[in-house]
Amino acid sequence: MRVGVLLLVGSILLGSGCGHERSGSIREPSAPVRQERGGSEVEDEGVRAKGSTVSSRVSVLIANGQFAEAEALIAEGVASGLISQPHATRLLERIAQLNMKLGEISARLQRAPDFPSQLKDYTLFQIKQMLERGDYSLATEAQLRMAKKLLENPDRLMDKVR
Amino acid sequence: MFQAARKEGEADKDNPEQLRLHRELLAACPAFTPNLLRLARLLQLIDQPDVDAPESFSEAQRLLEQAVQSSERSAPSLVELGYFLDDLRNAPEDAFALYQEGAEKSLETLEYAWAGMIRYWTDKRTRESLTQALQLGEKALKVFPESERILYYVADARRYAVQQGILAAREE
Repeated sequence: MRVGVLLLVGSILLGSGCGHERSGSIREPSAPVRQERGGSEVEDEGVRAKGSTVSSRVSVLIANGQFAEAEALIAEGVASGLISQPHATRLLERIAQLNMKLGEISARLQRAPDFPSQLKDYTLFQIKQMLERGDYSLATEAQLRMAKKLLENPDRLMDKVR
Repeated sequence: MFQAARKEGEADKDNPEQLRLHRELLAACPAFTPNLLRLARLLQLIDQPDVDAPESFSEAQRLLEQAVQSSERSAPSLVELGYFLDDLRNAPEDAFALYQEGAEKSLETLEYAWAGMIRYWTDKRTRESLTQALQLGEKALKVFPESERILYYVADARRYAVQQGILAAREE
């Protein structure tokens, strides 16, 4: 029940929204993870912090880049009725987006002013990691931010006119 | 025509025929916001060999500004323009102001929509509908703790729920 209500709140807020809210749902559970990065208790930490709901565990796995595990848990959640089909679809789309390489966005967007083409072969997840670690060996912080925005963009731009 | 243009995009999302149809519609109805938003979006995605990228981004921006104006600053148009400025013009401060305004507008709509749903369920006065009214009321009051409108309809729902024994009187 509690899960249902949480999902409903989430989906209603999402429904009104935009990429901004959605990326929030990833950043939030990743906060405790960041402090624990490298530790073996990463997943448990996230679970304790958010109450052990399936969808919060999925969010933690996604934030950690453990996509195969996340997909397995989503399938389990759907099978046991703890995750609704529309919510599962959104989570899977989020995983696909994190796996997308900068070079895969539309050709037109790749001609945006100051497009950081040296990041073409990197996925959104990798770019987020560079930003998180402050690793500016391949690109400046501003370039990494731009790449991240452009990659988060298709989710809004693809085919959803609200 | 809007639907026809959408259809062209369904088969192939990069189909340039969409642009032609959306442009034709723009000429006929320059203030039709969904068309402005859609065309602005496609200009960011579809490669037109004869048009430079900066040019199509400028056109997209003009259309988005037009959408904001002709929709009397509707939430979707504000948010679209915000993301455009954020992602393609590196203007996060301007974008933030637009997100904020868009969020306020959406919340206002959400408050009215939830109030209407709570009233609908309350008026049905079945066990099931009153339970739904109470559940939505609880959620709505978390988002809008001071909404007189929500409180007003939730009070009705609670009264009926007490009458029907769904809610104990002391919880009212």
